[in-house]
Amino acid sequence: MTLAAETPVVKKTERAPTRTGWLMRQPRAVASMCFLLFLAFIALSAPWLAPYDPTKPDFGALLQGPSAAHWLGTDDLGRDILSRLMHGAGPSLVSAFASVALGMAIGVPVGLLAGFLGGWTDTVISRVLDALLSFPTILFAVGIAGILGPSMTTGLIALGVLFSPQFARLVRARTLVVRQELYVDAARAFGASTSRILIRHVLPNAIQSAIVHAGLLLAIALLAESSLSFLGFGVQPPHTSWGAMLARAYAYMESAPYLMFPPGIAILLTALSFNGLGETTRVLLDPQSPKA
Amino acid sequence: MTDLLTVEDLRVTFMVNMGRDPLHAVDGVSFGLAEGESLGIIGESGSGKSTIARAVLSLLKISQGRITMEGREIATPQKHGKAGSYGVQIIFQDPHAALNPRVRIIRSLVEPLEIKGEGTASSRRDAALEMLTKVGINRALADRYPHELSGGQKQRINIARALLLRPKILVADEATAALDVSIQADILNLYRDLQEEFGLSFVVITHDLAVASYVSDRIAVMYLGKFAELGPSKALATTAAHPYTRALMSAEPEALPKHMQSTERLVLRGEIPSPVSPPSGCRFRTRCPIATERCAAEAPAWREMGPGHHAACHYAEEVMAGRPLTTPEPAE
Repeated sequence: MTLAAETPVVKKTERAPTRTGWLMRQPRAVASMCFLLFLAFIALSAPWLAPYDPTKPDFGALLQGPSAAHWLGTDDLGRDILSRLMHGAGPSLVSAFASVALGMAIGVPVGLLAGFLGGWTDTVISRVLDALLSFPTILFAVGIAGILGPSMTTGLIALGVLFSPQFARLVRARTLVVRQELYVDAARAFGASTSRILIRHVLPNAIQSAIVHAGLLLAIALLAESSLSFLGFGVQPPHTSWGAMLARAYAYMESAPYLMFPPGIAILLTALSFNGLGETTRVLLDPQSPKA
Repeated sequence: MTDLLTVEDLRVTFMVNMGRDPLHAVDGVSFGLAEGESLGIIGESGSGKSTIARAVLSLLKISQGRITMEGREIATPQKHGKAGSYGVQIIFQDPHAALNPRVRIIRSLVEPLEIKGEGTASSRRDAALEMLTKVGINRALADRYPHELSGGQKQRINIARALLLRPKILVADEATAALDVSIQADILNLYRDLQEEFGLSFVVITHDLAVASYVSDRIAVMYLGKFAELGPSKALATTAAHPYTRALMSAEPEALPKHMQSTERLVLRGEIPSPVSPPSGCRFRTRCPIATERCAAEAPAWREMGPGHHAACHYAEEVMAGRPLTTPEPAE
């Protein structure tokens, strides 16, 4: 065949399996990352990109359906839905990330200590975790908001505190296994201090499930923020988040059902992306998982 | 001869069954280890030999006794030294489990030096690479992860890591048991080479008499937390003074060097008794073919049977003289 001769022979060299290479072959991971990067971009550039002021009512255009002027329609105060969606991305993402980060910041060290030290420390910590876990999420957040006053920060702290026992439990369970591992004894034998053993040897081997769980909780945090906003304990008007938008849309479900879709779909896609990333991160961090 | 390491009346007790019952894992063991010497400690699983290793490393709290290193006290029931700080290192049984799976080989190797604060990052790396060569590992493997290497390679890496701290004593806790027989031989030969090169003393803990006899100058036979016999390898081979030693030798005649092979077929019945409630008197009596009432009533003394050769058996002289130890047929 002449064709074969003319085609430049691209030699398939034995590429060393790199993490980036592997990542690029995971369609779900790539899609998730692209979507989240896109969101981050939108959130940051909303003030310039958004066609309208998201907080300015326009009483000449109340509850309009999608049109050329308002691509996604307007809400009950005539505010542009697209603009509000863009401006709402920031608070939604920030509160999701911040609450999960807070949960990990509290939960991971607590779980690590409980699992590693065992004994009374473990018993006391575990009982406190059980108590926290038995609180219904929303009720707790509402309670905190009641004490600290309703604001986005309060809702976020409440969520973070509520998420922490989940991380603590996961990390504790793994720590119980990892602390028995021979490499921990080996580290002790060559003189590693307890803090070094915890940070260098136990933590990296005990945190995987917590990382995957963070992906799930980001999605849950997004939805929880929606619920809190829905109840009025999230972002305060006139500012907005997707949850707050969803809450308002609910009131007009019959007269203007199109209001629910923009924030609803945004939340759904973001939640899916977070889930996709959690698992990918775990695989990336595990040198033993095949990444060829 | 002054000993490098001395262990005096070591006892280690664990609380079991929710802290109700004491388990005497090591129940009064004494020995010394001279510079450049290797001591084999053999015994069945549960005999307490690994506990001795951990005690010597300061990886656990001892209940009684005293361990000294070059005259310096490193462990008493009140306090113990900082592991890794006094020239004793350990090689564990499972070469894979002893390496952190998330850390590249080179990072595992430099970590001990890092902790000691020795040299610079690059000098530590050089030292680690050089040690890899000494234990027969290609430097190219330094950036691999443990799971990418074979068991024998991993054990060599564990040895390299232990040697980087330039210990005087290397404790090998069943360090060949998890390896293939051919690899075992390689590792054992490596021990011998290293012993010459670094002037190391070894404590070789094993359940394998062949391994012990291959590398040890002296052998201690352990049963239920106590030494049954301790003596030069040769003396044990030719004139074992404890029935348990004879039983162990008859159990694997093929693997032993010629001079240790026994034509006797002595099969021990039953399992090693629970160390929570050891038999009265001599601990071995429940499985001993020549046990008498005296053995139940009176614990045998630790008696000197020859130069550097001790045993704890009431009938040690007869056993040494070659009294046949036939196993009575179990009554059906």
